[in-house]
Amino acid sequence: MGDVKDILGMSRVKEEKDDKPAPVKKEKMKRPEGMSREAFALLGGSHPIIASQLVSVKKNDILKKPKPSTKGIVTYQYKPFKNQARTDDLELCHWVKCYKGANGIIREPDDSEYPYAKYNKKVQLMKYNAEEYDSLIRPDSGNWTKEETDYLYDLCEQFDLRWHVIFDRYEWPQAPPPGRSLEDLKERYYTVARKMLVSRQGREAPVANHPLVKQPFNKQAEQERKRALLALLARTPQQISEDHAILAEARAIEEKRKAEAGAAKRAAAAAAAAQQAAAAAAAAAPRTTSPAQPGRPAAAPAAPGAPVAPGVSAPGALAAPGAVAAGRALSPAPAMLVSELRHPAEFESAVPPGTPSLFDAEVKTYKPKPGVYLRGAHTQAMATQQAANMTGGSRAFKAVEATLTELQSPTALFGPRVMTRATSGAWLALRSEVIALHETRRNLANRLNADDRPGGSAARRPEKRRRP
Amino acid sequence: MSNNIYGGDEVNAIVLDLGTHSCKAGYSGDDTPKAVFPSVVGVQAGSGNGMEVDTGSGAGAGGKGSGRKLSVGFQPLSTKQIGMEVQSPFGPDDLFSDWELVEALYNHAMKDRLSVKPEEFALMLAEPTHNSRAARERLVELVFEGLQAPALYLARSAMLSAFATARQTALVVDAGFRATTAAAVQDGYVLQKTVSRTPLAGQLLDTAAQAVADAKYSPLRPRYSFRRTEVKPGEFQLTSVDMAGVTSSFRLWSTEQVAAELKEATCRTSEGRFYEAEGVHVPTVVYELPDGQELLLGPERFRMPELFFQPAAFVGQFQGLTLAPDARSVPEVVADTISKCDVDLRKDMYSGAILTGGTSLIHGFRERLEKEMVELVPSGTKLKLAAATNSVERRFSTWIGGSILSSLGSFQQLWMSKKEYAEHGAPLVNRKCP
Repeated sequence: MGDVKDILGMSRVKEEKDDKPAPVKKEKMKRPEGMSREAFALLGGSHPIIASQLVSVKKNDILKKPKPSTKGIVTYQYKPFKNQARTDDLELCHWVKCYKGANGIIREPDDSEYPYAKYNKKVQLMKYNAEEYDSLIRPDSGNWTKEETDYLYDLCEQFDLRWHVIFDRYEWPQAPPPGRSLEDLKERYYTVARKMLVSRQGREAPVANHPLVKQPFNKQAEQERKRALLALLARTPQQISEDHAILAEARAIEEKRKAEAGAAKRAAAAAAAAQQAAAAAAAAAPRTTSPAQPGRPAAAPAAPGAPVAPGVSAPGALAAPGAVAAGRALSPAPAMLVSELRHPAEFESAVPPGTPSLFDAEVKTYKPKPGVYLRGAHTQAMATQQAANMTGGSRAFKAVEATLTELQSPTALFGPRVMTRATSGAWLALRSEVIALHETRRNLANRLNADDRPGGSAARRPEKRRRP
Repeated sequence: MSNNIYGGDEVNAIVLDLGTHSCKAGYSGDDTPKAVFPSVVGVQAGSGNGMEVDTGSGAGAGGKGSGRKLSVGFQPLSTKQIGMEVQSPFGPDDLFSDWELVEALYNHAMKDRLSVKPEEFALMLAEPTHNSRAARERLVELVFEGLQAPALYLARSAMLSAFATARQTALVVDAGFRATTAAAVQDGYVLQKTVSRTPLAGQLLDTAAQAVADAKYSPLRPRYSFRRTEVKPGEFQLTSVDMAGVTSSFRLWSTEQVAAELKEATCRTSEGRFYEAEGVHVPTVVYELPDGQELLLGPERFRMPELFFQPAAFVGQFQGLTLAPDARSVPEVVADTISKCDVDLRKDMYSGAILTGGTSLIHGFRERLEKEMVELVPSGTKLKLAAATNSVERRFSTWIGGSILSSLGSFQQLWMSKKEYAEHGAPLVNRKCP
């Protein structure tokens, strides 16, 4: 072999002999504790032992002899027992676990009391005696005799105030026709009990919190309730579906009303803030912008150089929707409300690392998928998406374009020539605000048409502020 | 105190349930009765000395003054007996009327079948749900004076059936032998005013099955009236047995047993209302009677249980079947019971209805009843009819409930003891066992 390699000209590398590979060190399995030596030897190392089985082997070793209890050997004896809950001395027999000591049989330690005797609970009723009856209760008993009241009390005690059962077993032949109803029985019992309670306490005050006194039994209410329940059960499917429909409509009306109230509140708050901001702006350093500057954060520094142009035009557009929104309460149809208008200064080019640099159609910071993007192209795409998102289609967008054109700034229509983060953000914000203006206007127009009011509303179609 | 059953304390008590079809007896704490035998007694006019004991057939006590010889159990009633009348202890209103027979049945259950001494065991007795006060007091007297039991409790069947399904509030529909009973149980007490019954039950179905067989083929032959021997492998020969001296009640009862087997094997409830025109497509089954005769049954299988749901329409189909004209169908009875309940209870009753009883084991009975009920109750209420899937549980649900109740630790204070009976007399039972 070697000379063949010589002939071929292959290099000869001395390789170490590995016909006897070092055997992989076989892990010697340690015999687990719970297992006997013989059993482990049988395993042969081929079957992995599951740990859980071993744990149980140790604990419940069934081969282990049970430890003798100190009490003795367990025997069961059939013994008679007394039941303390009984008044006679009936003795029945049952099996009892006894321990047999060395000398004889010792019984269960606590065999004096029958463990179930304590469950003999009864409802505590206050029973009147003869004088109390004569003085307190007889006066306004109506057609209840003492015997009948006694009988009723007897049943109440027997059945632990389970009214339906009491009513079922109530049989008083002298009861006035048409017989006692469940409410009659309850009323009688509760009036008597209430009088007893109050009289035994002396005054009404200490027991004012007792349910008997706080919520007296109202027979009329009970009867009404039962009648209503019967009617409820007797509804036909038609009536049920009608009821459901009515409920659904009521819920919708409620929601609309709530939303309107919410919008009104917000608009009122914004108007109040607008008033404040206007006052503050008038007093502050003169600005080139128009006086009404709603929703502006208090720190409105001198607009930086680059976004001056769109910044100038933006407030103009901002003022209009602000007036509109403050003018009357609107349904929450506009995409933006006054509080969401943003100052171009908010958009900064130099952002801390980690903040995404692009904006999406809603002018929120937008983190795109990994890749290379041109800010200009992306921003234009976002602009078209804003246009597409408009409800109303291309016709409505023409109005938007018209507005943008009126601002007499090619930047407003086509976008800033240099797309930095600040400029692109500001431009998208401008566009979205103009779109919101138009949408609001359209909503208003629809509302007026739908309501068909003869121009009675206070806030009419507002005049658009025009820039000179 | 036994620690393995929660709240349980098995005392020496026997549970006896004497129903219209069979008598069930066993120890309290068991899950099935040990002794089940027909609740009828074979009565033969005695020879006069009154206390004859027939060792071969396990007879009960002989008639004390009437000179009757009473035989209880399967054995004497299965073989041909001359001059023996078969009588049931129940009267026409399905309450105990012949107290001697009742005592004979109880004695047979305890002494012969369970081999216990009544003096040593407290007795839990199941009584009919609509039992009257007089019948209850009489029963109490019988037990304490006649059987000398140390303690007793009378529980209504509906209450026990509810306990067997671990419920205290339920609407119990018991499809039994002589009648189907619907009762509302509230908090462990049967509401007496809501109990309603209808005679549409197992016995009626037996008669219907008999009518079917008689009409189509030949009259059913009771088992004792023939002997069937195998002359060649696969071939049988029938020899008639002389039937002279057999009383008509005995013959009727034995024939009814054959009809009952036929009913149990072939009856099916149809899912909707059964119309005859559809019956043409019903597949027929072959049923072999004990005497080798084969019956082909098709739409008859559906017609028989239809009696429960449309009694008036179907009663005419069975010759010889008579029904009271105002017999109500089973769904009507259930709806009637619910309407007698207070309004507040109805919701619980609708959603917690239980179906028990041997007759309810007919295939498809529960589903059909539930469906019919849904039409009768106000729409929108949730109706649920539960039934045990185990046939043993359904047939013996009353007995099982008694076994559960008497083995509870907190029940032991409710027994009515002999001493109390001696002091206050039988009417105490209305207080102690409401």
